[in-house]
Amino acid sequence: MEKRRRNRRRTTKLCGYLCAVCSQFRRTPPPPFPQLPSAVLAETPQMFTSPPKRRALDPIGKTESSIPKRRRLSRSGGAELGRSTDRLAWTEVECGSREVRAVVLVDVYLPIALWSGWQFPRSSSIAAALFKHLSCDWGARSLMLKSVKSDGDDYYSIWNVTDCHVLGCRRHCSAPDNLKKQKLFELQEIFKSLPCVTKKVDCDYSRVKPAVSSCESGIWVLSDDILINILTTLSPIDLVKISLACRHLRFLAASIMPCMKLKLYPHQQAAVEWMLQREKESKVLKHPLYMNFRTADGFDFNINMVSGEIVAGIVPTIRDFRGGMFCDEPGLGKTITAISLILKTQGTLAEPPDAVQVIWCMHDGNQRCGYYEAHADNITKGNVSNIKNVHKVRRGQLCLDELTPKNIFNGYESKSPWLLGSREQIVEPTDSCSNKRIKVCEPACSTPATISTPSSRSWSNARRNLLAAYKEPSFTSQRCSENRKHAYKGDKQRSPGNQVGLARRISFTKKRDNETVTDDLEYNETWVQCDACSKWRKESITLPTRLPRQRGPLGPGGEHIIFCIGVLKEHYTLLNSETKKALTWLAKLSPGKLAEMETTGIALCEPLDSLRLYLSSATLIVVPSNLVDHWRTQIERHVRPGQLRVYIWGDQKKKPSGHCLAWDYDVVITTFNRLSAEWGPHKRSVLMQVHWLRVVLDEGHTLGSSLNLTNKLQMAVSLTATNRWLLTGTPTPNTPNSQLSYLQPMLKFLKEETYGQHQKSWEAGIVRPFEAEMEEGRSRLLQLLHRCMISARK
Amino acid sequence: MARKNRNPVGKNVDPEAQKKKTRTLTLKSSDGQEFSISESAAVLSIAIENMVEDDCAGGVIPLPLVDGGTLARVITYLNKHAEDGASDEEKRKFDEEFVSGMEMGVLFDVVLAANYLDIRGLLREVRRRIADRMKNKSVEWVRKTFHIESDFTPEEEEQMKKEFAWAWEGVDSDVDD
Repeated sequence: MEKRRRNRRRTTKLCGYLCAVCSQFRRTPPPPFPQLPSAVLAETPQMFTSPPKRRALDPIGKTESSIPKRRRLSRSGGAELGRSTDRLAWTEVECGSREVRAVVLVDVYLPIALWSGWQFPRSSSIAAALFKHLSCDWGARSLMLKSVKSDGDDYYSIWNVTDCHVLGCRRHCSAPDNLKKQKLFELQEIFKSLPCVTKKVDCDYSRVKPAVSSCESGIWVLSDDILINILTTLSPIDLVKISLACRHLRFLAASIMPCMKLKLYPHQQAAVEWMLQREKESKVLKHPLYMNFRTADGFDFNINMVSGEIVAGIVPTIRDFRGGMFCDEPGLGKTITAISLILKTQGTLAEPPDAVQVIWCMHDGNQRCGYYEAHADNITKGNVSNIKNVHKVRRGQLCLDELTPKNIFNGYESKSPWLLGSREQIVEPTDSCSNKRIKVCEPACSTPATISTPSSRSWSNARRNLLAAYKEPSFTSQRCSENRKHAYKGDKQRSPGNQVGLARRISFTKKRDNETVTDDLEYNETWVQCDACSKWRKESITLPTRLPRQRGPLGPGGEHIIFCIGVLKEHYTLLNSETKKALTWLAKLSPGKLAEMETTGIALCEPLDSLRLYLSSATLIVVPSNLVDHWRTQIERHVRPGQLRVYIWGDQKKKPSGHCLAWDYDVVITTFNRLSAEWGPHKRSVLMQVHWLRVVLDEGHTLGSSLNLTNKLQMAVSLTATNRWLLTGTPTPNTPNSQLSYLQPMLKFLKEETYGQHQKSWEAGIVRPFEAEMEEGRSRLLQLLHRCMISARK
Repeated sequence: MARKNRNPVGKNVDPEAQKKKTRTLTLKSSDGQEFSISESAAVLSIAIENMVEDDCAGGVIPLPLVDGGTLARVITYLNKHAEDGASDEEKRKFDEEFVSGMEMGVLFDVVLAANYLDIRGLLREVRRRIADRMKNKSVEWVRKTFHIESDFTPEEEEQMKKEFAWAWEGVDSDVDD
């Protein structure tokens, strides 16, 4: 016996204990507890039996029928599963009744293998249900064992155990009053109980600190109201910069909504601040479903209260999503608050996921824009955001160093000395599937690829050059080598799926008028991706009529032509008479015709498995159709004219192009109808081609109005955005039953990691316990809502 | 009261306004210099106007918060704006030139004086000028120009530089213009 115990000690660890209450009705007064035979007690703990209400405190004798959870546990776990030992702690007799209640101390052991990845073999969720009642307060346990006594509290609680029969259990609703209890579990009441955010008062930095070196005058001589008046005139970007100068200026700047013509109410200001806070780098939080345990000898482990999964050592974490639910009551100016938020962050660029490489280019002459390629699988599953964002916020201008991956040049520096010193930007064209790709650095071209471009980029010139290149390639290269700077940066090999056998990727960079254009085309004699429209075309070198045709983000189509000239020259020997005929035909086309081809294109697209996403600083606002005008007028009325570039994509309008949406606007307003219409199994909507800085769903509760997977919801979930917001005055319909389930689609849209992405966790962790009016469901819901929801009340 | 309704620009030639043009007030700066100014110009400052109306402008109006150099500038501004026949266009041009040449320290003095004397137009003009100086400059430049000592901890500073790298990379050149 003794040996067995020692053996057990070696392979298992005492992981927790609980105090169970058992009761027995007796005709005769009970004997003092030491005389109770321990054999009986070993059978006692009948708690955790599930529908608890029906079964009141069972007499000891009857419990055999209902399988105690502990026994179920050991049965399911087999021999190696944790054992438990019971000990009688104390008994109580209620005066005037014949009921005896006994407190039994149940120790729970788990195998040591837990620290090398051991899991509950079966019924792990039942095990989890047991473990959530366990305590690891070893000090209290030893006290309990030493002194068998009951003070007033214990006396009270032994007669007031909850349905689980565990002494001191707080997982169930403690309010005995039925009415009060109902109120606690009323969703509307919970929304009301959420605290309004109030503005933090910072009085520490009440002055601007003068620099030591300066003497008589500086900005600190000005009083706050003058300073505020000065700062109000600044643009959003300048305001952020000023706020970085010192604490006091930051404090003053926080309350200023740049370019907003009206003064916000305090609750709106506080809301803007809270929203900005939520949009900052997302926090890493302890996983809300994991409970922490500590063995008697001080080892930590965590158990998921829903799935029963054990994680030893490290504490499981989730990354908080950015955004939330903004649920002020109707009439409190949510629109204005949202516009203020947009103004506050105007110019901030969305953060690309970590795994991708962003390609930067110039758009419209002076605007630096970026895009990246994401693997289509990621997009369709809508889990782009799962790639953890641990980036810093980028805004406005970026420093060159950051943009230029320096290592790219390693192989080329000596060969292309002109690259050094020029402020030219070379970026590596690659995408998220770059890990699949083998990087092969070859000397770019045996003959330096130098191609002429006329500075005036008219079509007739381009045409002439095309001809020249094709007839006399050597002449062109000679002529232009001095003043044109071009490089084939590198070839890479990849095989994206089965569709393309061997593809070579060439990046093509040139300098023109202090601006850098990176042309990025992929070809293997069969596939070309047009940088302008991101379409892949089956392209054969021998059919040069199929030039990329669309006016692209990189300016007029000259680059395409240049590229094609390069290709032509490289493969000059391959040109047959057919091709030459085609080229001649192309060269003779009138400029008008060419322009037409350029804009309409010849449809030749077949999607490959990668999708280009344009990094944007725009906010996508999705509103019900009847509110489009409301948003428009609010922006027109309250924002300084010309400050926000707004695009409204109504229900009928023609489809805009992705990069225009991404780069030409600060605000894109569209409707839910449009959102639904844009969803299709094989459709790649323009809205999905943009990595938005922020997506705002106005009246976002409409997501939850149907519990099915609607087009609207699917589309909303598959939008890529750094920050996601729901605006709604009524998060759930005010009906008595099952309102909670309406929240799930919203959490899904927000990409909440615990409950939004995992239906099961949501149901088992919150919905079921909440609807059974158990405290644990309520507290989890509260914890969740406190984190991501604010709601100002009138 | 007729006086209250008078047009400050002085375009309507009523006897009251005429009288004002001839009457002069004496303003005394904190360092004891005295300036005389026509009443019609002086009352562009709401503060002085109030004093005149309350009849405390008997002899010399002391302005203990404004030094002589600044007061001279302010008076130049007032005189121009009270001038007969100066068109709005002219005044706008004058305003522009008036503030563009000023050093930062002078701007602060003037904005304080304008605030104290409650001269709306001047206040607006100088405020705009100061804001212009803040535009498109790096954080370091702002600190240097406005003599601000950063009171962030080194860790905070580091964090900000990471988060807002673009705010340090001079947008315009940091050369004082």
